[in-house]
Amino acid sequence: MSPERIKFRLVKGVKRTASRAIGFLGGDDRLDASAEFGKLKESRRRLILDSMDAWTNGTPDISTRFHGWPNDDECWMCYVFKAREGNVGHRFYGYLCNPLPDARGFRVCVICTHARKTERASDRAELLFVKSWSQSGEALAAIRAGLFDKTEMETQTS
Amino acid sequence: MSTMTHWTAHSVDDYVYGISAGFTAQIEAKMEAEGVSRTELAKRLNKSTGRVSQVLNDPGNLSLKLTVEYAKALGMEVSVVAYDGTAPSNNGPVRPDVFVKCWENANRPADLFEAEAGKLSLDKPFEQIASYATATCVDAGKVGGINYYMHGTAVPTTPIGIIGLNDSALGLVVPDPYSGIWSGEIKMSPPIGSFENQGKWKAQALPFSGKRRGAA
Repeated sequence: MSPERIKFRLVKGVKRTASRAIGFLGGDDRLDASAEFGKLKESRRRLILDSMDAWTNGTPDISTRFHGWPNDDECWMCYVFKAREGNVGHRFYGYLCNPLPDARGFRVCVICTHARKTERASDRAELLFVKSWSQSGEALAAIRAGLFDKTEMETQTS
Repeated sequence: MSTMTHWTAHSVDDYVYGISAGFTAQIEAKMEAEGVSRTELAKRLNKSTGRVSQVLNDPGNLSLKLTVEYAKALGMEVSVVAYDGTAPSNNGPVRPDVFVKCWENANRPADLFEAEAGKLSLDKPFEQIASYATATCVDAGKVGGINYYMHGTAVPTTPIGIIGLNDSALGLVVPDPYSGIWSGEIKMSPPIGSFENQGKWKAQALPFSGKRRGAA
């Protein structure tokens, strides 16, 4: 049996709570969020980590830092984390889901892609691409596996 | 929940950045709630919009003076809170909005006496507690028996040491045959963060208004 192509990894250093978890989806060239996150300047990386912390904490959306599109009929599951660097805005796009049907209310934010933006509005195509991953059975299996990957959690202590 | 090390635990600089960014998140949330733009905040602070954006986009190591200036400009106060570090540290420092929520849920005590008074109300007789809390009963069962199953929204209006006050509640309620008051233990559901073991209190339910399950 071939190893799974798509992988989900919890974001290193961000707390996972009883209600929320956040991680990167990878294993496909177009899923570039994890790689781009690693290239961020340290201050921007810290700001995004803090925003992720805030989200797992239950802090309501702050449009300048992280938010979803709950009123969008098509992309209601999409989510974004933002940081500005000069005139360029870093956007990390993902989607919200609950991969654990027995844990009502549990939410995972699955970060998929990174974009550099100079204009305010999000690119619709970016959201639709992320949405397509939210409907992927392969991604769902990867998320479930990643949430319970003990080895992965232990490597995060280093 | 996990064995990972929180990102703020790697260095003092990381920790300081986390505190600063947690503070600016509060500032940005307040600005958003009140429709205050960065330009407007800059005007109130007598600084340039660029300088305000610089602080909010990359908080880094904020001075206490600056935190007070920004908070005051938005009608807020600031406290620097140190607390017991023996609590689970894998999750990093408790975020400031958690402390604010606890303080608000405790009816904004101004001193330790008021904070203690809120705590003591848990020990008062049920009738007194009932005046502090109401719960809308939306479903019940076992008509003719003693216990009724209740699912509703609890809306306590004064401190009773509970978290998640506006969340849904689950619990058993018992109707008093003489007064008609429904009373019982209510447990918060879902549990909220690290407060998950503190979810029991007594409350009075408003008159039953929902569909009865298994009614005789």
